[in-house]
Amino acid sequence: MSNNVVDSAGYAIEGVDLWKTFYTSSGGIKRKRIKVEALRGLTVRVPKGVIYGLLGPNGAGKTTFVKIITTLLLPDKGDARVLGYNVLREAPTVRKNIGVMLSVERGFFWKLSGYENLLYFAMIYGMPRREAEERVEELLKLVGLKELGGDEKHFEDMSLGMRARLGLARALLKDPPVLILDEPTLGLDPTSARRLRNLLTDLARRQGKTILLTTHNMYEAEEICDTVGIIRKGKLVAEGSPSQLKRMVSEYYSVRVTGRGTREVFEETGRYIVDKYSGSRYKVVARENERLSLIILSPVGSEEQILAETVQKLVDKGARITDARIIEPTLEDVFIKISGEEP
Amino acid sequence: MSLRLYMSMLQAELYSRIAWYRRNRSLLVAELLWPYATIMVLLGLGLGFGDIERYQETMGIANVILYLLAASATITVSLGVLDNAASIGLWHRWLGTLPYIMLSPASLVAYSTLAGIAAALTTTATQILSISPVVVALGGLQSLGVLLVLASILLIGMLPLTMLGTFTAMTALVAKQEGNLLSFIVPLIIMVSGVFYPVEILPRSLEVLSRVVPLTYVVEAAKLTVNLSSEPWRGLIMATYSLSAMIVAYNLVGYVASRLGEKKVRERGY
Repeated sequence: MSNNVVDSAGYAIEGVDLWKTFYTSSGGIKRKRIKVEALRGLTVRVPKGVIYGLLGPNGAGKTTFVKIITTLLLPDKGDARVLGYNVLREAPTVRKNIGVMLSVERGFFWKLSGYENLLYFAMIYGMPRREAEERVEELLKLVGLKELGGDEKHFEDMSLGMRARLGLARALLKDPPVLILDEPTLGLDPTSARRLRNLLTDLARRQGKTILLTTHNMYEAEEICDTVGIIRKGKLVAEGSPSQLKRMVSEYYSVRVTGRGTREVFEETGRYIVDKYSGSRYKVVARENERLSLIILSPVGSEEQILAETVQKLVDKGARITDARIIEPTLEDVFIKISGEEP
Repeated sequence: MSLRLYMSMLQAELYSRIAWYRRNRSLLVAELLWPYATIMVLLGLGLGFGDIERYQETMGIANVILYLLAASATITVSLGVLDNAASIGLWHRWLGTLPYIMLSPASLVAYSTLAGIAAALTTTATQILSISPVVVALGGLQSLGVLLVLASILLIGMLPLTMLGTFTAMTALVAKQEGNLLSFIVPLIIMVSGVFYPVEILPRSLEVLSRVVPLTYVVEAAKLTVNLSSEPWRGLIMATYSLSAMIVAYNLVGYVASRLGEKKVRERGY
């Protein structure tokens, strides 16, 4: 690890120029050595108090990065810090300040209850027994496991949703300022996933916790992340808020107004907008129930302004509007365009 | 790292083991019956090849049953500790709990050692509990003292084995193997420890080897403790000295090697 001086002011998590190569082997008698470059100069900076989503296709290096910043894995080169503490030289302090959730399905004693499992880990992290008991009770309520009987249920009998909540409770045992979650909603049903997302949002907004999560779920990243980083082949290839990223791949604003009226009215309105905003294009599309949609693509002006003007013009010409919206590219479009792969 | 953290981790291990016993009662029963099953096999085999008096004379023991019970308990505790300490890393890797253990402020080596000590405490407790009714029935109430001394010897004797197990645990994780690499050593340790026959009848090379195996001194001490007809104290003190030296040597070498192993685990991934 290099001795790069890193200014960590304002950053909860910081990985600078991280490199990691793994060597595996395959074959029976004649073994073949395989070199896998998991990280190739990855730099990620997560400001304090935000929810940061790390996206990337399988094998992009997300989990390797998570393992490095959680002190579970040593990088070959580069500098990594959590709240300014070096993950190599100050590993015990880093561990005190982070809560980690790596897998929803496993990671607990199968024959022990939710309460027993949490109490075990609280004591493993150095919490005195009495304090641990109180904290576990508090967390079981916070994550909603108490009301589901998850405190007494053995881990093996828990649903995936309950396991995810238990995992989050463990990550919160030390009340750490930083939470690092590797695909926390993987395999969860939509309701459980939404509950977990709500919990995470609450933790960030109300308690000011910094959350780094890796995910394949674009909807999730779009819904709860303040900042999203996309990594590909061990490097950060894009970063920004979901709307900034979407703008990166979209050259045109897209506005769609649907309603009832004559085609002439819709065509005239389209021409009016195109004349006013140079470089714009329009298209009128027939919909079911004798409705029409006017779609405008514009590289200039704001989408809100164009939408408002289009609606106003159509109404003035006697059309009845049933739907009006700005059509943005999804984060999935961004991901596919930037990473070149399906999420 | 504070003593409080280590005590808390030890408490956690004991807590999980007791909870595990509660959930796996049939295994607890099997552990309690283990010394009796062992002496039945030994007595059966022994009677097939000779008589008890000859065995008593060869081993230099006053009461065969008492000795065999103590010896079986010793073996069970040793196996339990070695197996637990050596497999702890693999066990946590299978469960998926290994990264969360590695996230403790203490090192993985410290955790594995404490887990080995917890295993020594619980296995010693179950074995002493198991043999106590028969020992008291045969030796009277004064034999409660014998059990206490035996438990202490077992616990002291397990300390070098714990670090040996910890080193094996690290080796298994570094090598990314799925099995306990120490399992092939266990029969060798038992063979040279003199637990079921005197060390003196072994070939010279094995006899020398037996002198660096902690279990030999545990067996010697156990033999002296249950041998109520003679004066055991001098021998016991000698055995304790030898064990103390081994605790220092095994733990020193084992700790350095295990820390190197832990560094490799964090370099290569677990």
